[in-house]
Amino acid sequence: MTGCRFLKSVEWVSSEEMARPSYFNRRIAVRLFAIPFFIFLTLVAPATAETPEEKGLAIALEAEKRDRGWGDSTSELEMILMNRHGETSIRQMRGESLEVEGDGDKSLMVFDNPRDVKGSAMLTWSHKNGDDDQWLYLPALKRVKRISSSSKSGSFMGSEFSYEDLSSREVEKYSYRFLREEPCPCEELKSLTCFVSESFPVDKSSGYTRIVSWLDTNDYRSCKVEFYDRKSSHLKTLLSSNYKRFLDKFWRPMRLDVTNHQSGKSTTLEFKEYKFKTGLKDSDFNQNALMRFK
Amino acid sequence: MKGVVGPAVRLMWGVLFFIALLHVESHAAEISGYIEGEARIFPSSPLYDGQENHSGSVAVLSEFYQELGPTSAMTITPFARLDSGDPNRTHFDLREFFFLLHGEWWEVRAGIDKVFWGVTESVHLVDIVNQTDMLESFDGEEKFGQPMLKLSIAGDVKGIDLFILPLFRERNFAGEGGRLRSEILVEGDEAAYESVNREKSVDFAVRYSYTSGGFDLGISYFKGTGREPSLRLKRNDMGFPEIDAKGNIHLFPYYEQITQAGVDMLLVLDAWLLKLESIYRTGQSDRDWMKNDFASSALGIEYTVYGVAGSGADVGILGEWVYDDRGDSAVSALNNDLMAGLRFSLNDVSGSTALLGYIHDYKNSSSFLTLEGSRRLNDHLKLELQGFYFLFSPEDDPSWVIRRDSFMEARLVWYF
Repeated sequence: MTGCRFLKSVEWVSSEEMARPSYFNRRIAVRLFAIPFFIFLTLVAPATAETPEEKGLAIALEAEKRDRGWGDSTSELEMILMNRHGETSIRQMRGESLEVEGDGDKSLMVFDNPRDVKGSAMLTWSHKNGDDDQWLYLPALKRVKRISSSSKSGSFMGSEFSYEDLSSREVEKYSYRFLREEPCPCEELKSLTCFVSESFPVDKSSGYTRIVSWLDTNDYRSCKVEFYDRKSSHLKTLLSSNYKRFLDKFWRPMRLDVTNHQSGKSTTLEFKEYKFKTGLKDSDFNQNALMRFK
Repeated sequence: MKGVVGPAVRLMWGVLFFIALLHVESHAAEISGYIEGEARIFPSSPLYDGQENHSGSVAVLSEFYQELGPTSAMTITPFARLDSGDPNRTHFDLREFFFLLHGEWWEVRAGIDKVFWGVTESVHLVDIVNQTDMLESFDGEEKFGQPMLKLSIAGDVKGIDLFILPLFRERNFAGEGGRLRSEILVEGDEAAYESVNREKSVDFAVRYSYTSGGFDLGISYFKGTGREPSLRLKRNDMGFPEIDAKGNIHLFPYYEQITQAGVDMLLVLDAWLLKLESIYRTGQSDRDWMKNDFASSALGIEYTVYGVAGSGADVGILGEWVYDDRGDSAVSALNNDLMAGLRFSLNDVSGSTALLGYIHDYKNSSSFLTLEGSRRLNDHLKLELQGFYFLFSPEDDPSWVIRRDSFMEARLVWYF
């Protein structure tokens, strides 16, 4: 196989050599040129064929492509908030998500704990282009309130996750730049190689100016993400672990750990239950469904 | 309402028993709610006889939720309060008692329920389905449960809600011991109606809603018994004001037949929310007891800065302007007023929030300050503070009669 590839590349570059008068000479020339050129190719070709921006985008597109077709899911999750003194507080939620073809996903989330926010629910329609639509339902007043799109940089339930960290990650919302490949820096995937890429949010209301992410080259699973704030200083690090595969295809981390390096606070998010293809439809993600969601 | 409470309570116990039976089945059932203790302090001495400088109160709300099938459920939410200051504030209400059934694009709710319409914070002009529980909270945010049959048909971005409201709920008024009342007591139990069917007159309402990329629109129409009564002087057979044994005269609420068309709109522009509520109402008497059609509008903006100065805290700025074209004859104190507010959310583990508001009347300069704050003490316990301060109340403003009733209240709420 390697030989074949070798030959192909030689034929492609040696078109100039073909013009030489002697077939014999040409053959020697091929032999002479071939080996160093092959080495040259493996070193430089990826860069010349593809800019770092193109490669970064290609990785993001591939990750998205591999995640297509999951349909819908339901989940139960727990968030453990820890302040810098090590004191913890627990939040419990349940969620439903729907994959929308041609646009961003739709999701519903309802809170179970702490008890004063029990029954509060959030409906999000994320969009590939333009701002997401988001509504919050307050059960005591039976009121549905619109949340402004700039809320994406705000804290989610007092945790170190912001709304945008938890919203569906559409390829179109970022520009990309591939940096390098290196061994994955997280325990679970440490035997694997990771793509290291930068992404830059298109939307100015994002809380970040730069995001550096490590994705394993086998399954495009996120291993580590570093977030840089508007002042370009390192704000947070997110580690994903306990990967489980659903429907023989879709990898989901059952645990997310985010640490805020500026405040010293951290949050752990654990999925207690995750189900796919539960039969949810568009009609389960409108405002009536939001008010009904228990 | 008195005649309704007894049977309703009996029915509720019956249904609870039914739930207990069902509970054996595998359908999801849930009980949640809160118990709260409340202390209110009025720093200024009262204007009227019988009023106190402080009051203590306890309240309980419990929601029983029972799933009946994959697309049907029942919710029962009784509420009760015991108040030391005002016997009228000691009250029971079924906030909810409804059956819900839904299909893919439709939903039916039958029973007692609450519905909220609108987008603004300082006033809720279009919100008309439920009667306001005036004694529960001074800001008018609390509502009585309303018997209804509601049909919703909803698409992705538009929907229509149809309501048949078979039984009218009367408003409640402060008793002799209560603060935040006029000198002349309103006898809520002696209500009079324009309709011969009194509270059994059937009301209708409909609301169309539409949402599209950062824009929400609601258009509503209501026909029936107005929730806001006109207050009339109690008179004897001779037509003179009736004077009781203590030498006092009394008012009674008069509920009129009205129609109201309303529109509410919200537009998201980056970090800005632009809001508009507008109503046109016919059939309602004004402060001078004249039936005058009127229009009223509220225009608002809200801007929020997330993660202020590198902290996780959010700060929101609110501005709203409320206008009622009846001017001084408006029943509402907010007839040409500006509200400016600041909202803080610390986004800490305690979920600490505070809202500071200032309301100013352009015409007569009446003004007041509001303060709301809350902080979670643990997963079940929450401390809430609320304050209201009358800065200036001229004699021609509805707030004149309660000018000495600035107050501060603290609530300790245990959620279960």
